[in-house]
Amino acid sequence: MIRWFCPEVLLVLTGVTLILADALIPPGKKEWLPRLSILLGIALFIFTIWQSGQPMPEVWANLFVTDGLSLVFKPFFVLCLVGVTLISVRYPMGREEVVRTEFLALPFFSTAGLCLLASARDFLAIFVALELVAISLYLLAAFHRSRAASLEAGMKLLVMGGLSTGFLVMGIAWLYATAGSTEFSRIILEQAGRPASPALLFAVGLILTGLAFKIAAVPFHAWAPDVYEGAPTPITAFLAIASKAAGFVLLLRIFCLGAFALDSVGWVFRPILLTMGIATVTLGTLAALPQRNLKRYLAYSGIAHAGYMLLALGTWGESGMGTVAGYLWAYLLATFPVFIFVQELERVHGNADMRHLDGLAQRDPGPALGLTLCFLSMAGLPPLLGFSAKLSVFTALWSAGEIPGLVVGVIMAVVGLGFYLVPIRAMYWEREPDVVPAQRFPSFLVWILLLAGAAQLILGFQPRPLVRLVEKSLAPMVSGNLQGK
Amino acid sequence: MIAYAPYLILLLPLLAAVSIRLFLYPFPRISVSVSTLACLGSFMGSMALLFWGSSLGQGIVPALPWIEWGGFRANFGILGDPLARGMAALVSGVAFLVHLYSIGYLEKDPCRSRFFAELSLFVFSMLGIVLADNLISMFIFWELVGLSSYLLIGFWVERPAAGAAANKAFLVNRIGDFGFILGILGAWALFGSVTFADLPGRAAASSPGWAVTAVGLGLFCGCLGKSAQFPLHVWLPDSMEGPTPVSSLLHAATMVVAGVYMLVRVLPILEMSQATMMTIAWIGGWMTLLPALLACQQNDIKRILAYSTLSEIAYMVMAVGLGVAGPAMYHLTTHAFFKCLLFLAAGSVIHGCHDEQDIWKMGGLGKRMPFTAFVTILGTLALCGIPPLSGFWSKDAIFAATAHHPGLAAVSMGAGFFTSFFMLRMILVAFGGEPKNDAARHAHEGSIFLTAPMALLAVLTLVGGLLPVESYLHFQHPEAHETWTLWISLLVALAGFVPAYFLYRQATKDPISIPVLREKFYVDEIYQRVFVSPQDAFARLTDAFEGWVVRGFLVRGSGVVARASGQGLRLVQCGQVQIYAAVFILGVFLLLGWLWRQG
Repeated sequence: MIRWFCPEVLLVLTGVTLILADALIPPGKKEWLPRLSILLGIALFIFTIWQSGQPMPEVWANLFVTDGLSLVFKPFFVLCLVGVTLISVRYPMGREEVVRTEFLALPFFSTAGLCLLASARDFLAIFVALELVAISLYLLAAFHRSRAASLEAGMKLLVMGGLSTGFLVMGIAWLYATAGSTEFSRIILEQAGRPASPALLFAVGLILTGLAFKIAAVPFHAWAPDVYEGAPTPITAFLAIASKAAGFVLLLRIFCLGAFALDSVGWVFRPILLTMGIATVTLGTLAALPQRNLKRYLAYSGIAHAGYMLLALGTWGESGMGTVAGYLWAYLLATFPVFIFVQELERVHGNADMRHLDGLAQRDPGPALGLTLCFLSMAGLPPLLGFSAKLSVFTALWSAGEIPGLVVGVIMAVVGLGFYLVPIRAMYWEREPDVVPAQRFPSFLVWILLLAGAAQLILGFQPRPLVRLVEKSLAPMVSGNLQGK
Repeated sequence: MIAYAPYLILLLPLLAAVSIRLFLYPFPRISVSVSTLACLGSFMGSMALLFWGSSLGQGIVPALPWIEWGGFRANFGILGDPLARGMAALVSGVAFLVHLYSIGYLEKDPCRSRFFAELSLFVFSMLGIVLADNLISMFIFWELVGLSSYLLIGFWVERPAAGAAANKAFLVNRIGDFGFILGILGAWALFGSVTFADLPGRAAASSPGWAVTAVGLGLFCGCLGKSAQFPLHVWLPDSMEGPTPVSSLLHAATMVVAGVYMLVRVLPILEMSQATMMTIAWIGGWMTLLPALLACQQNDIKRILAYSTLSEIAYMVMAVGLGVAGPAMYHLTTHAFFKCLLFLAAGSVIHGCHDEQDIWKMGGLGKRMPFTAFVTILGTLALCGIPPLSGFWSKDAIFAATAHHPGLAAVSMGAGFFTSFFMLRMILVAFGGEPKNDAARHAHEGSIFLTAPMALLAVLTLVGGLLPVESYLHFQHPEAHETWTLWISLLVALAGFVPAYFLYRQATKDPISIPVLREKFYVDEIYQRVFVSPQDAFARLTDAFEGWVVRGFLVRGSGVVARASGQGLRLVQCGQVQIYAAVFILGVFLLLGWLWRQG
């Protein structure tokens, strides 16, 4: 019975509670609901850290597993939720103010789906959890109905998401037809020791398509810039970080731990992942150069980061897998603060155009410093956190002998420095505009940005906590195991 | 937990710097006190480490694991050997006195928060160099020291000369640091370790050869830059554009001798190669003489002292080259006292004469600033190596080491002659005779903050030779060294006073004029022609490239990809979801096509 108190269940219950409270409490007396949702989010985060190593309900044993990966990534997703809730509270809703609580409650459902994904050991569970994530996100992206851009973003996400889900389901169906099961352990047992049949490869290819959409890898990335730009900023952050991370956790889960961790499959898919990685890094980096809108810019930056992680994944080894896990945490720590800042920028100026950064260091030295550290960390400059992340990607590529990927990765890291310096240059070297808005950034934002910057520095100098986390994610099953009960 | 307490020595100044920069910036009084107290805390911690550290033995402070990457390992640790502890006490002690002095010197400056934040940053980085237990972390602090030096030289941002001097110091140091990091990488490649504790053993186990020589010379490059030795010496005289407390602390007492300290640390590597040692000794030997010659024709009181600093550091470098680290560190210590004192006295003069630095516009200050005059004379006697002042003992130890190298003995003792000459010239012109203008006529002593540090340093200058420096350096005074070096060096030094006395006793303008010395052997001009102008041309070229090709063609044309692939990408990223879906399907076909070929 006690096992039912797992993060996923509590996340769903919290979401339901928030919606019920919103419906039952008379209007005018609900000012405390946003604050409550933040508190609940933080409480759930602490609970998840404490609980994510515990086994899940026994009834689910065939569908879900608790292991190192889920242990490390459930807190990741709930941390994203806390961040999103924090900034959702401040998102200017305009006419949609009346439904703010729903805007706050929906990410809880989505996060429940993400946590389930981190544990899934069966393609059916994966499909259901993915839909839980995706449908909440379709709603959320289109939530700001009075803004055409938001509606457009929701529509694009829906169409493209539906398309990718179609391929994913098709892949799962083919898989079932080939292997006779959707459960990872059965598939491995069934396929081990034989060459992969064309039908199996076809199935894996279709499933990869669905996941490549999630992580916005080239050529399945086209939706990302438009949707990121149009969606409400908290949702953009959620899409860019949590949703992308979910794609990678699934890739790790499927290709490195379960189902297709077979040499026969890996032999075919390694070059595909590496080629995709090279294309993604190149396009993300080059296309980011001319961007003038911070949200689009972050979309391309996210595409480039996904490319680096794909390259690491393409090395197919344990080091590549640990690298992806560490990279995702580094990406979260460097990118989320920037999204928080972008939303405040939108509050003040109405949009996220990069020209609002001109001369920012003059009037707001604190946020400028924090942002600079975050951008430099994303660029991968030592001694910041992002440097360790990129270095481990390159080390993994080097030791796997993947020289083309390494060369492109290094070149793009250098080019990337160019586009990460663009906002820094604007903040420090551009002249301040003559008319400066009177509205200032709130002091909590200054603190968050400075703390984030300090975190880049401290973890860059001492990446040990992160390394330990990565080692943990590689640990074998905590309870239950993939080879079936 | 108490074992980690020594890290506080490092952390206190860093905390002071960060908190001033972030919070206390608008409150100069609080900033000043926080910075000074942090430095005092570091000093007391260093003293505690100095006195009680030895009872705890080597490796007293647990190191924090830092970089582990493949076969490479570097910890972040604090070195507990006597050399590091003694040097830390010296650095933090002198730094504290200079903090006190700066309170008085900058009392009217509205930007003194910034000054003290930068000073704290410097103390942090300098102590980092001293306490670093491996070359990698030393290099990081080495760069931080370069940064704080840059910031402090350019402290008066409104003066273009200060900005130019700061740039020059930073850029010239980069050249040396490039050699330094090559040396570090070479040391790692050769010996498989960068930790000071391992280096002596590893170096002894390896075989000498050209590679070891190259590594030694690379490391020496770091010293050339930071300690301003030929050919990278040009930045130090210009750095005098910074506030005088900075010149005193960074560019005389502590930072510029970091190179010597580093050489002593890596001495086991240097000693592997006779060629390296001789190069170091001869560069040091000549650098004692040449700046002393230049100083004879300088008119700026701080520049005179700067050239004398170049010459004194060269004595230390020469001593290291001769393999006697003890006397080098001994001279480093006494030099820190008396040269810091001389600079503070010069600062007092400049302060008293309303920012006048030309000695020919001063005069008669001996009567109006008797205390400053007294400590200047005291510092001068120590600098010239007159017994029983501190400088005598340390210089004597270095001269004794040259006993078997007549060439080095000749140049270094000759330098002593000119040192006495230009120092007496400076004193007679600035403090003797009649006031040359109103500012000098109304000169007066500064506040207690100015005089107290000078008084303390004067005491140290007087008795510095008696401090038990040898015990923490593990070196014995050569008891029975050949006494001829002592007598000759002393006679030569005294002889230098004679011509200066007769030439400058009543002079109102310089009776001798030697253009080649006044123009510093034209080194700056040569560098300008050979390095700076071509580099400027190259910079203009790359600027044009950036402006026309990168920004004009690549970026403004909305991205190289869009241009290169014609309108391809633009068509794709048009915002129409149908197109996106088409691309998506195309991607699927691509992927499946690949699989088809494979399977």
